[in-house]
Amino acid sequence: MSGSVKKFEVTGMEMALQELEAGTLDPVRRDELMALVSRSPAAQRTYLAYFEMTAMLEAEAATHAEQGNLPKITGFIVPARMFRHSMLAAAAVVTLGGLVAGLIRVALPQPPELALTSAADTLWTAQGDVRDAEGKKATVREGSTLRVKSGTLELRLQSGAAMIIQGPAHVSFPKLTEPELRNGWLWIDSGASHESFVIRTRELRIRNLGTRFGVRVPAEGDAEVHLIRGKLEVSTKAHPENILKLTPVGRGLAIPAQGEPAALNLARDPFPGIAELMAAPANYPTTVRGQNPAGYWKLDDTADGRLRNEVKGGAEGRMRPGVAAGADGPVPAEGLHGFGAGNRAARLPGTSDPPISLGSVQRHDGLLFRESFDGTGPLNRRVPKISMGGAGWTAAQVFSSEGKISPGMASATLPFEPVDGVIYALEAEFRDVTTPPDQDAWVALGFTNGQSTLTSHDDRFISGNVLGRAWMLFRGTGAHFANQAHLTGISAAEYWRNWQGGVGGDIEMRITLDTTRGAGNWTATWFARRPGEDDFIKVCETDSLPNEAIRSVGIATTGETLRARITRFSLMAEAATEPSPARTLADGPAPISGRAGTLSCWLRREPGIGRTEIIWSAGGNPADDAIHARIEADGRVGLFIENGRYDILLNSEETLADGRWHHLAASWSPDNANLYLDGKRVAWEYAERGIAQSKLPELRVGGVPNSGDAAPFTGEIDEVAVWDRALSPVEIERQFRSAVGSSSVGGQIPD
Amino acid sequence: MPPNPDPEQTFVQLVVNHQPALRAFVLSLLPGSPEVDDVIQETNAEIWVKRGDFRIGTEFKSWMFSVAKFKVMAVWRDRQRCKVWAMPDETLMKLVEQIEEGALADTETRHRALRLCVERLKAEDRNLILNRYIAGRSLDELAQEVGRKTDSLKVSLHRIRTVLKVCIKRRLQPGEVGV
Repeated sequence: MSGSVKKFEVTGMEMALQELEAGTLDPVRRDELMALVSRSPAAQRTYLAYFEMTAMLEAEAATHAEQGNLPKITGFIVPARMFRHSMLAAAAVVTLGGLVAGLIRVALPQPPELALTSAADTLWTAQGDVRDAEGKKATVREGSTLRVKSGTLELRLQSGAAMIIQGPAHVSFPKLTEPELRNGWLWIDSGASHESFVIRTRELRIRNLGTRFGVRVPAEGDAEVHLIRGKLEVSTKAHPENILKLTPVGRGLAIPAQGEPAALNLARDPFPGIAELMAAPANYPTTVRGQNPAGYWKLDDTADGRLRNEVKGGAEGRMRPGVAAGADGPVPAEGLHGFGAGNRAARLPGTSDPPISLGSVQRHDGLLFRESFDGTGPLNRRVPKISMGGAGWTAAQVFSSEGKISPGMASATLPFEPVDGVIYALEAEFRDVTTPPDQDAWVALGFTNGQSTLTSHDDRFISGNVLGRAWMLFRGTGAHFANQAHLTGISAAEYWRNWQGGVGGDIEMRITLDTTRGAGNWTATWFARRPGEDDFIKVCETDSLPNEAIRSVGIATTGETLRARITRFSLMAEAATEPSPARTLADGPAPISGRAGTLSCWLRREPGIGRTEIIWSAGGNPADDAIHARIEADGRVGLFIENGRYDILLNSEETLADGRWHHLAASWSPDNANLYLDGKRVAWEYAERGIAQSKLPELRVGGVPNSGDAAPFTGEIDEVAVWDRALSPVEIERQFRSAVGSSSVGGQIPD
Repeated sequence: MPPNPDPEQTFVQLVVNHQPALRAFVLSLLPGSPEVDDVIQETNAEIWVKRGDFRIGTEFKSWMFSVAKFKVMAVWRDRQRCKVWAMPDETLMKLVEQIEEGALADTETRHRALRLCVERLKAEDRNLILNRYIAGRSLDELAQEVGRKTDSLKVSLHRIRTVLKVCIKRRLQPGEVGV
């Protein structure tokens, strides 16, 4: 690049601009370029024209990609020997020209088509252009609609991009890369294809580039987006101009048509196991896995008391020592051809201790996090000195490991979900919190709903991905306004009371979160003191949390002018209840809730019970039987659901205690409860349930009944699976049919 | 008598129509920066919040650029504080002056022309240039995909851009139709 205006040359400059926009221009040439642009109006015009064309081309490329007519470019390498021979042959000069021209081969778009594969025992219907349906395979063209009644479909584009539909689901394909999801789960992985997708739901438009993510439209409630990797842009149909840009934060989001998104547990990524699922034979385990359970314990290998969860990343169960393991399970010899001949089960002895734990309340007691900020480099990903499960910081770049906080609007958080029955104390110490005169910038401490590495106006406890649930801010030296305590976002703010310490300088802040009164009754209290003072001052009275969806703890900062250091951060828990013996508890909470769920299993009970027995129970804590299944003295089975003043108790007419294996399933949702025996619905109730529909982390099989008129279950149990939704009658029936091994093994059915 | 247009819809239309110009503005002032998308998003969010301040009939693009300018300057200020390279203030101001004098005044017209010119490119050229600008794909990534050296690819891209420039200029000459 010439430093002279007179020598300014457009081609050379544009070549340099290509590198500048790619971020590869070396510093010396970059400085020369900037100097040239500063001096020469002609260079300024060339510069601006270049980036104007870039902007226009980006818009065009995006339009082409959205319309699905941006072909993938593939290259091929001419073998070296062929190249040399061509060079040697005078006559080959023309041919060589042809070869060089052919170095870039543009693959024109093939007639758009999706290759469909169904998991064994999947039931699905199609409308529109679906061809070549044979066994588990078919091809799907644009304009088609797929409905999955039970099971899982995999769809692949020619580019290699893949989709997974988890039933029950209803998806239309006006264009293959622009599916419309009416209900159910749709997962997309554009892989190395760089395929761009636009997914529409009734309320949302979701656009991706080079991403793996899932979208769920539940039967009721807001659509959910679960981003595993890459980036997404989400807008609502009501406000297309407001684009929410998502990057992976380890959480899903429920996104309403209007209002603030809510953080969710990130759904399980189905892609790592999809090839195995598609190749799996038609049998009972494949059917269950195809129905996307939240937990599935086959109870086959129980020798060491550990019960493997077939769901990747799911909590491992535990069997109490002394329980008879390795009993005969459902097998083909008993007419159940969907199991292997060596299938094993667990025999429950009917003792008073819970024999099988498939979910346990997480225990929070003692110091959960402690960070002393004595590292170097960025804070992001650093693991604190004491950390639950080795969790590290998710932090914007304004936070450093030595505690320096640079100007910016951002947050630094650690993943954390409170549990009931604990008093938490969250503390941080900030030093030299400084702003110029008339600047109201602040630092903050709090419990929040999510995590983000972005430096943005939103993600600092105010709104967006990191929204404070109970938090407090302390302003810099130049502030006019006073310090504040907050509940959700900035909607409920109180200036600090009883505080004479002013703003700026050094501060210690503490927030206590009391969950001992249970879900729906959590409270927070705010404290502060200057370092060196004896006691904390309560700066805001105890208040109830309007929203208890806490997913992280951390700090935030705001303002272009603020400077500060953080020197200490900690979270302490004081549990109100005594722990249970850990060795008999599952290694995590059960993934079901009182709002909606399903539990299915296989049971064998000898006749002659003479008492009511509890088969399984689930609740919010070890002493809670909020939902449980039972077998009555006469052999009928029942389902009990706590429901405020009017509990629900369903009982079958059919009896189970006949010494044979039976399939038992129970499902519940906000407006109904169902009990199934051998694939048939045998009892149900439609009722609006008014109870607090909280999580059911404690799941026990054959546990200790809390009611005095019942005893633990005596018999064999196998194949326990749970879902975080109510399975449909069709899905329950498919489970039973796949166990019996009837001639129908699923596939496409007439619509 | 025709009904009065919905001011909110008109505003949305203005925002949508001027996105390429906004993108050109931000790309020019933040060349090669990962914050480009954030600045555009924040600018859109702010002008939406302040839409009540805008009077339909006044110069929307200037107003939008003035909002974006402060966001760009904030990015560079952050960079300077972090002791990493930032566009020199003088360069930034000169470019802003050029823009205020009308350098990006007709982006929408040129964009319509470019759309037609892109369609007239040879298929190989069209796919190469569009693939360069999809999903922030880098030169090196594209070169790897097409099995060419980066330098050779840059020459091709420059040639295609020149073809497009000539085509746009010709289309915008008086007497041309279709724009």
